Amino acid sequence: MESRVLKFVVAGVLLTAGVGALMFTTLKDPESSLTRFTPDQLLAANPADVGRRGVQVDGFVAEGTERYDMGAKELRFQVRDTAKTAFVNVVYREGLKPDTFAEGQGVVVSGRYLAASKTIEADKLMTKCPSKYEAETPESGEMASAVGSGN
Amino acid sequence: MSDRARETRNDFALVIGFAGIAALAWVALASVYGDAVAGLARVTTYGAVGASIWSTVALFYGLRAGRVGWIHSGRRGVVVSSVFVLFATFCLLYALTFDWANLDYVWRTSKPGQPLIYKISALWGGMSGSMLFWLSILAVCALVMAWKSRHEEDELTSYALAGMSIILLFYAILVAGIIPGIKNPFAFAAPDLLAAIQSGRTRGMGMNPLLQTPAMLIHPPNLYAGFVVCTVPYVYALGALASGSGGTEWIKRSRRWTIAAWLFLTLGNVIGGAWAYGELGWGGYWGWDPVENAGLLPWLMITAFLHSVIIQEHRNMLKVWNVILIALTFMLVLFGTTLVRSGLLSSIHAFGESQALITYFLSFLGVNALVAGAMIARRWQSLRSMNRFDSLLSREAAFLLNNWIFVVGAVVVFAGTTFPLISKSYYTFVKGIENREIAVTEPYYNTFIVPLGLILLLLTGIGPMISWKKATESNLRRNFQMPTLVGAAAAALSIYPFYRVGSENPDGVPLLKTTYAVLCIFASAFVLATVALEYYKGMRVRMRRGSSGPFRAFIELNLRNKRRYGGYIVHVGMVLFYLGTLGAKGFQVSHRVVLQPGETYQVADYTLTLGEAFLERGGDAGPPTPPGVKGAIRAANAQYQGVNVEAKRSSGDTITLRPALGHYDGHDGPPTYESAILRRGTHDLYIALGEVTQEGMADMQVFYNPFAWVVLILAPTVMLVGSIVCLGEAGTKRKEEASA
Repeated sequence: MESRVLKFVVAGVLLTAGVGALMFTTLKDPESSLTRFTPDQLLAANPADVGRRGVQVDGFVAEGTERYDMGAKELRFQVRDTAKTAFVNVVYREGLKPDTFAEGQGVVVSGRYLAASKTIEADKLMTKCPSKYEAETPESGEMASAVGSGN
Repeated sequence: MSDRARETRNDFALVIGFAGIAALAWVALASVYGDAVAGLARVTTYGAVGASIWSTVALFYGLRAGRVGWIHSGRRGVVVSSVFVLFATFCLLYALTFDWANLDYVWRTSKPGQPLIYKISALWGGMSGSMLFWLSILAVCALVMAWKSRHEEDELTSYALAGMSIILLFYAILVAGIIPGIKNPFAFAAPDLLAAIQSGRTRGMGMNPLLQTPAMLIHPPNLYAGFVVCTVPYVYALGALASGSGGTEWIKRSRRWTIAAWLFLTLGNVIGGAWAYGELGWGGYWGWDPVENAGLLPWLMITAFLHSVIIQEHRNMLKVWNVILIALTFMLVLFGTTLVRSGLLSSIHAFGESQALITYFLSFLGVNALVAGAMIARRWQSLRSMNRFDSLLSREAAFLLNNWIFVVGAVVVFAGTTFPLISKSYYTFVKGIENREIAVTEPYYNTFIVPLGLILLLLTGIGPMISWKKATESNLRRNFQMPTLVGAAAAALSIYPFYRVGSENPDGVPLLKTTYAVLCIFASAFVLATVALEYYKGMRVRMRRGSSGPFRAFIELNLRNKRRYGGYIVHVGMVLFYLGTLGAKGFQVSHRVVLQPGETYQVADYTLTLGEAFLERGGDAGPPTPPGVKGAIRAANAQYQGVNVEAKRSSGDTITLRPALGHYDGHDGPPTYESAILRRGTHDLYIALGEVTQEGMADMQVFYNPFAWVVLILAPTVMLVGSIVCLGEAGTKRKEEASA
């Protein structure tokens, strides 16, 4: 009996360790993970600290900065923090801007950060629910809460 | 019929009659006094809290002290509390339908002029309403449980109902608005807002245009039902532990619930994906967002549970394991709800953040973990299995491996979902760096989920065919020789096409991906062949025995052993899902296209020509939608700005697609994508319009998605059919047992 329990424990430990080790090595791969910042944190961060890994910046589309060049299929804007003190440039060429993307709205930018030009070359943009609702009502985002899965 | 059964019947008749009269009275009062009577509805939400407290106390006391009267009273409490909930839901629907904008919730989610179906779906369009809706599904489950168990009022069901009462209480407290973070759905708007409403300055915010799609009518209800129905097998498991009724009785009683929960979760997730696909203009349907993962995690667990209970039924093994699996399912539902409702993790879905809600949910989760753990420990001796695994080549072993894969998959997804939290604590406590979070991205999930999924697919073919205890060589040869050959042949035939796709792709396709693709073809063909073999064998026996033709034999076979053959049908649906995903996720082609009017562009074998721009009202009769074109739903309360795109196929036919941007009335946010999707047998041609200039120049994203409809339509439909066949079996068994 005891040996059976032991076997189970050993198998469980081995499995957990195996999966854990695999996950750890996967996360070492810069393709599979991103470091998260707010715009002010990103600007304050030591470039060496940002590392090889991509970044994911959670902020808002700064007002009056959206520029779209249809010929070059290139979207440029700045992402700002809540206090409107830190601004990071973003350039995005991977697709259409996401649904509900607009100035003043929440946006999550994923990509590679070039510290010299304070620019993120984004490969993914995600928007949050329109802040029209946030501005008028303190309990933000109720509208979106109905969406279970799917974006 | 026993006295108790009669009594239960009378209870139900009384309560339902009472609720009916109350509903009529409500309508009468409401038509005279308007929303001044909202307070009455609010009272019923407190009534639900009170009644579920009562039923919890009465049931536990009655069961512990052996007082039958208390147990009966507690069971009535469950019924009363559920009816309160359903009445409150009715009232909120009434308020939404008749635009009682003075109610804060109605003002937020609806407005006059919103189409009726979206007024109704506003029930789950906001936080408080969706909690009430959630609770009302739970109430329906509780009512059905109480009704179904009227003939078998043993300790098992009474304990299960006691567990149900606690969970009802948990959600009723949320709905009543006792926890900060969620308001009572019948609360009036704040004074200044109320003044604005009464002066006519605002009539309601209306539902977010993104939510105004038919999917809003079916996706949240399915997903919620899936989440909620998981509760029933869980309380049955706890009931079995509490009452000490070992064996498989609890599994039998919750079998149908489990299948229903699985079906709802499956449909909920798939419809969610289809919604994102049709609505968001990114050509995909799954993005590993935390909120999507929240729906996937319970699905993984309950699917494992669905399989492992079969082992317990046949071999009386894995008893502890099954309880753990269903407990984990329930906890992952709670975890998912926490994610979705309280903003524990930042997701693209912007949810209100509420510390109180996080604490409330997580403490309930903790309590459940403790209780379930303690109860398993207490029953450890009686749960120990008498049987052992005889061989690795056995059905038990195949099922156990299937379980491990589901669990490992869930661990991977869970770790990925919570990695921002994990890494944050690591950096804070180990490295001493504040506010550093790491998020994982899609490659992380693909690295694990793809190989795990392929093993699982292979097991789908092996598990149901391999013998119990120990497979002999002849068993293996008889069942697997032909399928293996079929799989190998299919894989061999697929190598060249995949190689060609790879060589045509400008970026190249990694070898690993091609290997996975070929393996997926092998496993798919293997599974299909095993299922075909099973049907062939079964039908041959039937046709020999009787004089029935093959069609009749096929139908009879399914009806005879519904659970088994229903399972096979679901497995076929699963294979289709894999094949569709292989195409749509693995071999999607995406083009960014900017065209002047009259210019052309080549995508796969389509020549796209940009035509004229248009501007139309949703209500207007536009040109008829050509057959095969999906999406492009036009709402009456919106204006559409779009372009005509002619898609000419090399084979000759030409179809006009009309992607557009939707501007909803009274909504000043950015326009929504109204992509046009041409659905063909082997692919979707998907055009999302990003922008159209004054001169008619259009900026579009064009996707060529192989087999997208197989994932989004065909596979779920097959799984739905299979599940319904399975559900049939549980019913007949029940009747047999009841009459025996």
